[in-house]
Amino acid sequence: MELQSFLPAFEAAGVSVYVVFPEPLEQLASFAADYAITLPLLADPDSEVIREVGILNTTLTEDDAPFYGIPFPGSYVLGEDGRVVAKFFEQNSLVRAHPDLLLQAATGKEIEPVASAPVSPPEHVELEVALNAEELPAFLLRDLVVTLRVPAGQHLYGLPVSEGLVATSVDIDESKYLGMQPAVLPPTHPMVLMGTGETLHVYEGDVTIRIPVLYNAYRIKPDESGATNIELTGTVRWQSCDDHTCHIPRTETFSIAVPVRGPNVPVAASG
Amino acid sequence: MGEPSATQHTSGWWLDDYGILGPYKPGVGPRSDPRQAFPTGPAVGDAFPNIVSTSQTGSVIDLHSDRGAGPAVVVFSRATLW
Repeated sequence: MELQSFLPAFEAAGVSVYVVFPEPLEQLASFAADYAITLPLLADPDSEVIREVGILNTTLTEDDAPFYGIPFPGSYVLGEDGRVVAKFFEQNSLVRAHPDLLLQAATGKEIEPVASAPVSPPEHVELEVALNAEELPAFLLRDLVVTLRVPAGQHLYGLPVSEGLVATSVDIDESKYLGMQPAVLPPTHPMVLMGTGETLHVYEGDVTIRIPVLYNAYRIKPDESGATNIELTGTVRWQSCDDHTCHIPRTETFSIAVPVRGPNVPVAASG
Repeated sequence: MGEPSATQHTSGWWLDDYGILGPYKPGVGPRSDPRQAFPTGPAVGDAFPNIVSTSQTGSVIDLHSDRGAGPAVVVFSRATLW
């Protein structure tokens, strides 16, 4: 269980962690023993808590036993005052927010990107591509972080873009090992062209684009060393301009080798 | 609202829109994912209801009392076995 491995980080940050299951106590005790889980697993066998919170899976009926009573799975981050400061729910019930994202929301401390892909330095804009993790565990979302550092006096374009100009974009190559969500781009700000009065939607300074990605487990057999990697590749496209000149649109490719890890296996019983 | 993407793999398991392989068919039982907006409980800014439940060690835990004055993460999971 991924949360268990991050428990020291949560405890060091003073963040309590709880997991609620619509299962009897005996099942939770057995699961905790098998996987060496010490964080609190809370039993909700009649789904009373799930109903009170308001996340009962309404696509199921009582005829769908034994699955009726399960929640739409997700996570809440509570502040010191007990109010919700963030929540993570996905349309696909197999997908979860990584514990790092929960910790980030609880502490307000941004996760530093870890793995960097060397990219040929562009003429004017500096490009960095990094995954905010050292590995991709199965089904847990992490962010591919693309940062474009735009020199002062220049700008890039967002959508909607005027004819003849190129909007900033990131595309990750499709891979049978990867699932991904649409890129999250920062908001643009308006820039009015002198003369024409046309309003452009631009980015200036550091532009950070995030693409949530996950590893689809069951796809790869570990090599002899036990290590498993996938290649995360793609392209970044942009066009930079200043008040007088527009540069030729740039397309840069990136490639990152990312260690991946499949579903957890039970802890071997101590003898 | 259309049916969820469900492709049967050569192994007999089922692929969903993410390409995640699992023993249950998407749209059935534990993979009954919502295909439109679905309830996600308290909104950001709302007070989170208190939970009083028993943990795997047999301890009764009162959520807001147990967390003290500190932040907390509360995860709702479907099951331990699948």
